[in-house]
Amino acid sequence: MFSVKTLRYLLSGLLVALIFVPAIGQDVNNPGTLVVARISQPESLDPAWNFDTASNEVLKHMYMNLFEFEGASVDSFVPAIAVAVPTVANGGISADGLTYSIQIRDGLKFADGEDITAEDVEYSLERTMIIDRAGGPAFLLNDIMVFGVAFSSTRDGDGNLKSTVDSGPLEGTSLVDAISNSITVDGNTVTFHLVQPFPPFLQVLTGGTGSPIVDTEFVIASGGWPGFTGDAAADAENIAAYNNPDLGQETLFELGGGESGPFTLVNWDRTTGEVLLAANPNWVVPSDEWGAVFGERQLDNILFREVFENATRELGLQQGEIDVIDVQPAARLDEIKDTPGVRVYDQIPGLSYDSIHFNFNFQDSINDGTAVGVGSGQLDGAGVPGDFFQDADVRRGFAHAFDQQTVIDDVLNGRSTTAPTAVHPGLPFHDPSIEGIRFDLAAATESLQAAFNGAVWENGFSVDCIYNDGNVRRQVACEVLAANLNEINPAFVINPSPTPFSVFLGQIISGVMPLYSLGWSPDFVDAGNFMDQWMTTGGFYSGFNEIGRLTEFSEGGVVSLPGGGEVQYDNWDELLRLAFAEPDSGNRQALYTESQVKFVEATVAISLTNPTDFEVTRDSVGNIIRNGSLSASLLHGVFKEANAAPNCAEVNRVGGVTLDGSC
Amino acid sequence: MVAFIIRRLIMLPMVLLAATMLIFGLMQFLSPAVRVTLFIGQNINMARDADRLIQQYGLDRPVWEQWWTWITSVFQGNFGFSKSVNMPVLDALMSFLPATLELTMFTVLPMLLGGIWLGVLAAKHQDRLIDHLARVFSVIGWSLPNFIFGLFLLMFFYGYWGWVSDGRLSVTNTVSLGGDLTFIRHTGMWTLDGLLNGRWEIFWDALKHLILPAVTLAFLTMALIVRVTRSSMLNALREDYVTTARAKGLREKDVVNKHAKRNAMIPVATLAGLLIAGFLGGVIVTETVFNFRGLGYWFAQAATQLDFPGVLGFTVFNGALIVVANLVVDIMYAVIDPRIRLD
Repeated sequence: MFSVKTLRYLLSGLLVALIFVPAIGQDVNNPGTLVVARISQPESLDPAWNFDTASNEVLKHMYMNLFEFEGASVDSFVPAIAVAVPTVANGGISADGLTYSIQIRDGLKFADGEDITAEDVEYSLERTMIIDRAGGPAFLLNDIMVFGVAFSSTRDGDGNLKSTVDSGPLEGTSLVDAISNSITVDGNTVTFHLVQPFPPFLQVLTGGTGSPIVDTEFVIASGGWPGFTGDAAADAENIAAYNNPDLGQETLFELGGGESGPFTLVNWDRTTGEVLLAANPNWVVPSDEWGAVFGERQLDNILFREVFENATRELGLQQGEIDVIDVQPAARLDEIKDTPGVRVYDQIPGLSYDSIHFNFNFQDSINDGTAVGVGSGQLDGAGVPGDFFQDADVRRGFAHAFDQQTVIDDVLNGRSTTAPTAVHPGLPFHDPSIEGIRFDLAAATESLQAAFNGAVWENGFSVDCIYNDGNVRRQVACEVLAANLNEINPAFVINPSPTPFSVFLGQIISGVMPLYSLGWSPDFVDAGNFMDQWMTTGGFYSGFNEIGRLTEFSEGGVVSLPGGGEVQYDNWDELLRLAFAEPDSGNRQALYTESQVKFVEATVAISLTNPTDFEVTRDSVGNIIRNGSLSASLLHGVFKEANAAPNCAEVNRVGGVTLDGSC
Repeated sequence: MVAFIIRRLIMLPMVLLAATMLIFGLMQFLSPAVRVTLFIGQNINMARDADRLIQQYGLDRPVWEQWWTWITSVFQGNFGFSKSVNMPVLDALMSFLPATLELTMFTVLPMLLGGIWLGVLAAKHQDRLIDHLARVFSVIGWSLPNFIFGLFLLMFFYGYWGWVSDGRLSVTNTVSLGGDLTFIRHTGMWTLDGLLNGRWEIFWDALKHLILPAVTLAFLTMALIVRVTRSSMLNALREDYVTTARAKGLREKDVVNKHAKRNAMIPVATLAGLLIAGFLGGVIVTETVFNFRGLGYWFAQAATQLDFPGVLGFTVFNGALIVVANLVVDIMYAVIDPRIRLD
């Protein structure tokens, strides 16, 4: 009948057909399981280690904090493990802002069935403080409860553990005593003792980095820090043993079992970049306020996947294999929005801020030959000298020559605010009356003609504008600046220069670049967390860029306070320190307004963008809440069904929309 | 032959040492401030601790001291921690290798069988339609960038028809296996482990996910095999012994398969050996496009993030692989052609 050869072909064809059984069309793929595809996977699943977006998004669903963000809001909270959100009015916060007393709710349990107690809260935060891994979240707690300075560390400059506190009101106190007394428990009330007022403290307790509540017994049984025993010598030894572990050595790196949140860890496969969570059987909605915002937990599983390739993520979303994806660049949203079955949440206030930075002193790197993009290193038309950006006319001229709106319109399709300073519209204490440096080529010409007593205009210059390779908006920003300056005077040459991120970051640290573009995302949502990075000698950018070299930095000033009186400051460090510690919000506003005025007057940087946030999901995903402070979504009450209704209340609350018109 | 093998194996550690020294030497072109960014990653706040991190990880020590520290720890079995994938280097090698092995297994057969068959056919029917088609195929296959071909396949078979998806398993099976303690991962290869655990749905699912990356790889390398086989067969078919065999009245089938083909396979064997060694070292682009993570993915992450322990670990593995692959090819050479003596 059939020859052997024919039969072989038929069998092969049948095999191929069986393998390629077309996916039976379902309205909803994998109901009960939400698949989230992000660009990167977590670094660690230990809350004391966590300080990156990918880890935080996963941990937000494994552990609860004392509070949770009220949906999409970044500055209002609902109680979770806490009975109520403390205020001065309800006595939870002392009038001087130094004491926070928080009652812990009864009846909540960890995944292993153990009760969540006030002692667990104390242990969890103290654990973060003593672990204090390099570059981790511990400074958020240690700064305000132990050391009284910004970006503190439990280790000295040589990397050795301190035995005593070396700064602030507790200077001279043993480290053991300082940390163990910073948080105390009385019955089911936890009290936090701050060494200075810190208005964003509730932000820190909510944000997820370093403050999720873990199961003390579980962590200790798993080989973790045993807690304070009361024996000073033993406690000091224990701190030393657990302080600053290498990645992978922290107790909860990939360990589940003591979760306090709605989901538990099933598996983290770092090879495939997949984290699988399952519903925590011992979790209940912690408070009525929580329930009102998020509703009941409805998912059985959440699968977080690292999918590096943009096209692969989008294909997965299109096919329904993936429910939520990262999209890059943001301009892709206008193409994706019309894809059947896809819903785009747009115009959500974003909290990151980009600028083009001036390095105020790179002469040392010119002298030792390590400077990058400075040409001849002299003001001879072929380069720039090390103090080029110390001249305010140069900075002002550059800022007037930058067309911020073009970058926002052409690259982001309008998805950004025109933030004039680092205190952008999404942050508390943003002053909308302050105008930034306007795009004005005539003003740019005037400033640059005056710069260096006319030498800049006469000789010209050549300098690189450096950005991380692949970032389109920073690339376009440099190109716009280059084109406009060249139009003013052909002797003005800016060379847009892409650099791999690793090298780029290393060059920032070394202070060898004259002009570069990068941004900041919040550690906590407060004006101080941003302004410090641009205007203080200890700030991330301003420190490396040596802002103290500017004459404006030390000019000082006086600020009239709305509550009466006035404050004098000698330099920007002092101004921002006063603003940060001021407990009265009216006075804080006055101080931060002053800082914003100075930012613009001195042209500290060229404001680039404050991009809006977004989320892209299948339209079968309901009740997903994007929170701009997390750069992630809260999935506590997400459900999957055909044509699921979005949570418009939360979307609209922050001024967001859905591009399919459903909100 | 034994002496030959021993000599080549003795060279292996020397080659590896030289490769690691070269990498350490190249590292010095990057300042400690740049190399410390591996430990900072995307969390730029951590850059404040740059000086402490440089000291902690010894990034500012002399290059020879860094190399010596590394080599002494290697001899103690510690290849360091691969920060780019958050696991020790040896664990990374063992974790990513199964995916690469699996992909190689399912690529090699179609590549070799298809390439040799088409190359022989093309040579037998030189200048006829099949020969022209084979040559066009080999030009296109070799010229076409593999990421474009792979994305096309993904777009049609995943995006439009939904027949396959990215990764190694479907979401359904990933979730079901997540908490399944009865499923034992003997090899790390889902196809084999599915069979060994008697879980046919895992086997089929894994096979489905292998099809596109394997086809992508096989198609592009088959093109090269076709070219070399055709060229080698043509040379063999022109030899005097082939003319003699035909004159003696042997069937054309026997002339080609029993006489000419064996001689023509020598360069093909060499090429195939090196291609297989290349697959086993990971195929970065294919693994990235299909999210099928093997050694290539790991190496790409390590290289772009300046993860030197990862780069060094991969170099040692890949260097050993290349040396052994070359040795195996040389031995195969001698087996195929008895005239060749290895000494």
